[in-house]
Amino acid sequence: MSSSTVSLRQGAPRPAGRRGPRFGAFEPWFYLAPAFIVLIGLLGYPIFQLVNISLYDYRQAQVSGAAPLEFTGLGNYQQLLSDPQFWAVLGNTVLFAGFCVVITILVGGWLAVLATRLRPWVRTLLFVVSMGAWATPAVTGSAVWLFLFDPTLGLVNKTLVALGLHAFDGYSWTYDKWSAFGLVASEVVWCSFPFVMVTVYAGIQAIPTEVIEAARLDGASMGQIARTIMLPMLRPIMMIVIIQSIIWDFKIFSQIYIMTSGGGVAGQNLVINVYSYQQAFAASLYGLGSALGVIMTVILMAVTLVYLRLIKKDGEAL
Amino acid sequence: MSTAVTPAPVAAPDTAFSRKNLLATLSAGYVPLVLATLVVVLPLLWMVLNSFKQPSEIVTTQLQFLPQAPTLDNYQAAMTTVPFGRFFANSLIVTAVGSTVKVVLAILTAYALVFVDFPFKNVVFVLILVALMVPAQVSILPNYILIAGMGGKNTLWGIILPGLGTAFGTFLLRQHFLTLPKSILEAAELDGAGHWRRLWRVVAPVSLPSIATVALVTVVSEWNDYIWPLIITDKPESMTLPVGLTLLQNTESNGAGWGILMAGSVLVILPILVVFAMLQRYIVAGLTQGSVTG
Repeated sequence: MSSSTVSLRQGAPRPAGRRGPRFGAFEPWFYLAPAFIVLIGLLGYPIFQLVNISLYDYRQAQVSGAAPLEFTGLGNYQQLLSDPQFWAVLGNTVLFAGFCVVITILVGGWLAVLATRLRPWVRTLLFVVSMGAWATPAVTGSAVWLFLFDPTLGLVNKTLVALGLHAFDGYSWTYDKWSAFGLVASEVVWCSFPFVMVTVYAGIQAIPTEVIEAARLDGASMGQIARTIMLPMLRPIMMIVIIQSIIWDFKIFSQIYIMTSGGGVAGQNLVINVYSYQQAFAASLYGLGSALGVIMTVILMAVTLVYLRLIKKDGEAL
Repeated sequence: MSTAVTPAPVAAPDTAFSRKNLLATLSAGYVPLVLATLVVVLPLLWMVLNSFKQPSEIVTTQLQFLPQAPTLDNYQAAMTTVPFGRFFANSLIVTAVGSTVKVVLAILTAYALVFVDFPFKNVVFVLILVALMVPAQVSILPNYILIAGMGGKNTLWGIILPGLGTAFGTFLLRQHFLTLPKSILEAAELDGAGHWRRLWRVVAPVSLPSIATVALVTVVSEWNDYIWPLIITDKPESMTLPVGLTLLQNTESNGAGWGILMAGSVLVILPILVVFAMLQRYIVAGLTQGSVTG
């Protein structure tokens, strides 16, 4: 991190003066400096430490200073990559997060487009209700969903039994791997689609209304308008919504941790973040946990860069 | 849509009340909307209803939706078994200070990333993306060592400080600024407006919906932040609401605890709805209210 800022500073005087000499070449740095200080101090340092710790055999004894610190290089990474459980957890994470991202974007985007056509009071109702879901802390959101799907006390099973489906009497939704993942995914979509909806809606509002009106007068359907006008103009907004969803859903922690009691039966519902937390804090293998964090950051980065590549148009900035 | 004014000719395929149009409207619009709203509402409704129920009504195998004897006991218990007022004040301070700093930083940085020429712009942007991707659970240990070493344990600034390092707002605003037509800025530049005036007089006002969105996202995440405040505080005096809620959960593990937890959750969500009510003018209604809706 620090080396890049040094080189940035050296490069600054050359092209920046073009805009006029009011503040001189230092003006960009006036805007960037506060953010840089915060970013380097509060993100650069943890990232550096994360990579650093991942290269050591770092356990409770090393934290308290009872044992000497042993540099193991890529030993933690080697151990992980040769562990079948790591690959199983990674597979779970990709499937689960991918599913959540797709559903969240579809639901949120569709409701945002729909919201532009609703009467104001219906729209406000939809938004207020969604805000409630969004504002629910992950801890309580998970608890409420779990309670709704409780084998004997839950509203869902009681209703199903009352409808005559006695197979659901005492049926556990969290016992089977995929029904457990499905339940958690429902909660995740429930609390994350409002962000997509609100952001996309704000983006749609920024589109000049004449364009949409003109298309509508020409007889274009809502689907056509969404596909041919809104989507291209919303590209930068869709990009953030999709990347943010990828990042959030790959980092899901609380929901899995609470709803599947720390990873499900025999760890069948472990995702990488819960696994990493288990290794780092429950088993006190800080080095291994940090290595997992690094791997996850690299994967997220790769996914994001591939995505940016795919949507990037020729000759356009990132 | 406009053809609806004239009386519909019999069996004309594309008029407002034709079977085809009616079916299309229902399937593409209102039926899924009603379903979606129901699914979204149900957990919230369940939470609110249970917050008014007595323990015996919560722990029952009977299918019972409404509270038979509505009671405020749960709310009273939530407010008195833990220092609720203190939690509330702490959360308010942390959210207000943290969100304000984050939003202002995000506006400044995003403006520089889009409208100011400087070298290595893409490198800076990629660094911001990296910053977004570091999982919170694993950066907790280094952060804890850093903040505790600075004496930030059980202080409000200790809760606020590491959170300031999120890059989300910068990212969202950058993406929005990219969609702004360059012409409005060029006009301001020709009028001799410097960056500072261009930012606050031109860019910020036309970006109010996006800035309000960033503010909302930031407020929600600050308000609900759980893991970091949980780790950096262990005294009730400096705890925030979500952490305090866990105390409620821990006090009673039976049906009574459920009702109290639900009551506490309702109390946590309400302030966010107030913030939303204040910001919705910019987000939901937008700047061009009425002109988009047909």
